[in-house]
Amino acid sequence: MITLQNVGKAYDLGDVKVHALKNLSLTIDRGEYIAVMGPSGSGKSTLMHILGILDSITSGRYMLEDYDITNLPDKEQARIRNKHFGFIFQSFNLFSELSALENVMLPMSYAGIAYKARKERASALLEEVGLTSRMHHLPTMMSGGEQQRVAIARALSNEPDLILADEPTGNLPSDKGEEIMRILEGFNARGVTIVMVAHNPEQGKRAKRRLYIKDGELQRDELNATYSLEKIDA
Amino acid sequence: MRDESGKIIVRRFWNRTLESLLLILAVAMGVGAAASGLSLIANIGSYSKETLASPAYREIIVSTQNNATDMTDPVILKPTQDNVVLTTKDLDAATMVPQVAHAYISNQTELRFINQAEAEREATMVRDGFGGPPPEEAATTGVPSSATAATATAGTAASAGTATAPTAATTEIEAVPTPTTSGTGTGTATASSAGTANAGAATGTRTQSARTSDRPPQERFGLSSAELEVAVADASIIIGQQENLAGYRVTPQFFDAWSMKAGSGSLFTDSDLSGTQSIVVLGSEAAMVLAGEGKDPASLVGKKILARQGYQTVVGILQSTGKAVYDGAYFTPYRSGATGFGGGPPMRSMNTQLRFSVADPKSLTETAAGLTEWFDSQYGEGRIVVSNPRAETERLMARNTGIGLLILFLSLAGLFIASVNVSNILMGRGLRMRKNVGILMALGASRAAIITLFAKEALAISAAGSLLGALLALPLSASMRNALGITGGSWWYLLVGIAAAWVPTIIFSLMPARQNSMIDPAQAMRVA
Repeated sequence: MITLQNVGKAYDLGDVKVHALKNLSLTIDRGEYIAVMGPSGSGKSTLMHILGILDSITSGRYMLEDYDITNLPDKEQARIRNKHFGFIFQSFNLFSELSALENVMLPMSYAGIAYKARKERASALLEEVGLTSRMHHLPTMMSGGEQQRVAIARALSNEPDLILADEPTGNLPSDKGEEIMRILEGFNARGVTIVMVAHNPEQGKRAKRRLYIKDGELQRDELNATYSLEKIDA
Repeated sequence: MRDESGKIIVRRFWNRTLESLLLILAVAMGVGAAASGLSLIANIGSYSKETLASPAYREIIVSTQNNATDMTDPVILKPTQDNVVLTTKDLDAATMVPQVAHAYISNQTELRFINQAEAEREATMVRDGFGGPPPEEAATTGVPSSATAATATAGTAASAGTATAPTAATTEIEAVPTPTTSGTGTGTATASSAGTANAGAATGTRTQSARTSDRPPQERFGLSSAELEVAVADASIIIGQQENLAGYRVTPQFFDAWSMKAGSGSLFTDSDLSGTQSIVVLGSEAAMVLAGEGKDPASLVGKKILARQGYQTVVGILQSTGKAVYDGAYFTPYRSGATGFGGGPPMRSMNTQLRFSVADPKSLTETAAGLTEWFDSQYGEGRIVVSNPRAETERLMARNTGIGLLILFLSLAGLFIASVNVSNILMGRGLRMRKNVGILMALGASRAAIITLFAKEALAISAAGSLLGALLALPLSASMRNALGITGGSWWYLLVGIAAAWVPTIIFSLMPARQNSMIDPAQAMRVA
């Protein structure tokens, strides 16, 4: 589905040029569950931003379904982000002015989905993450776990090909983190591709595939031989 | 609203009510002041143009020293050593100054109607002992007692500053032809001169001064109730239902100078100046009022108006001039006392102002110089005042324009400062939303969508501010116009001013929207 070929990302800081990613090549197939791991400042977030075309690359190519999307115009990039990618952030990033339902409806409004249809779909998604009774609540009235569940529902609203989750449990207590992991793994089991930055090695071990990044370079790309969906379901 | 991103902006707006209201107020004050300033300068321009386009500002006024220094007072009251008297003969100066297109006299006067209400009023006053003539006088003249009331109708001080006469209107201190009373069959042909020297009754009140022994009695044309009934029944006699009608004693060239044309009948000619028949030309509005509702004003031509001054035969009706002061007035020939009536000797000394109009206002200075030279040669240097109303008015207009420009500058400066502040506050709001902009872009918002989002907020604020500014501008603009004596004007100027003031507000408000759309989503996400 996604192919990165010798991708590099450098930040020009005047006298110094910082190479956040160096010649990184990577292929992501549909249905994968990938954990991106590495120390702080290794380039994990930069990779996530590039995958989500929130950031541009300075060298290499980015192919999405055989299309080179390296240098697309802004409007097209926005359309791809909206239709193909879903984002989940460590700090949830819900809009405090909107209710849970409206937060989930928001990406669908950019996709041009009619109000009634997006309301119905948002309600169904919130029901799926167990927030039926909280859908008209503002984020400020919800717990961290609930907010992240709303964020998951929002990320899934346009039925994306890829969920990009940047430390989705980072701001949650362990029990709530486990809850979020199970929800994400459940969606992956239903065919949703997930790329997740995992700071916690235990969470990384749960992914089907692990990418280890250090100093902007892909150190290891390994499959998890012990991954078992049954274990997750249990 | 069904757009979720729009809801974010609207709810943020209300969550920061004070800041939002301050933004609207800043726009309102800037727009209000600038719109007022713009409309003021436009009104000054149009008022100046309109005013100076009047024939009144294409003429030179010639008057005696006394008549010029304080034109609002009756000349007769001012003790003077000046024995210069200007008459219609002095209009001949026009032949010596080639730039003069028309030379004329125009003095205000008034026609007092005799009607049932007036007769009853006078009967009451006579019964109460006010205003009636001494019994012996009434007896000897055979005039009904009511006839000698209302002594102060003519010869009263004319007010200055009418819309068309920039200088004070002249007070007429001359004898006028004796109105005839033909056709009444009453034998009361004692109508006498109007407006004799009863200038002491400056406001038209009835005074006892008219009966002082050193002045002739104020004889007026009057009718008994029975006679009035006969007059009312006569279709050839016009009974005015109102108390009086303002008018002008003019020489024939007055009509040419003001481009007035007869709609029915005819205007005066030079021969009418020396005649004795009391004739009038009616303004279009005055004719309509006298004719009565639904009747053709042209039917008045040839009929006689029953008035204190005697029967006035209507010889013509003017086409509408568009100037209420003339359309609602009547015009009667100016007859100089110098010739006397019926070829007789001059009846009284008189004085007046002579008006010399030119075709091209640029030649006014030259014309004034030519007239000064002529009158100095006739009456001695400095005894006659030659004034150029246009020059004085142009100075006034220039002063108004200067004040208007200063106000405009200050108001535009206010608008600029307000717009910059609004822009800064909106920029600050945008920066506070930087993280949200990044999230919106991650969720699929394009830069155009972000611009649209912030632009909607900016337009809503500037529209609300401009609306409030328009409300502020209404009284402010009116107050500025009043302060500078600008009459008339158009609301269009204010509307255009509001629209023009809105433009920079929109531009300054939209700048932050564009700036916010340039936020790098990856950087914004790092903030997130």
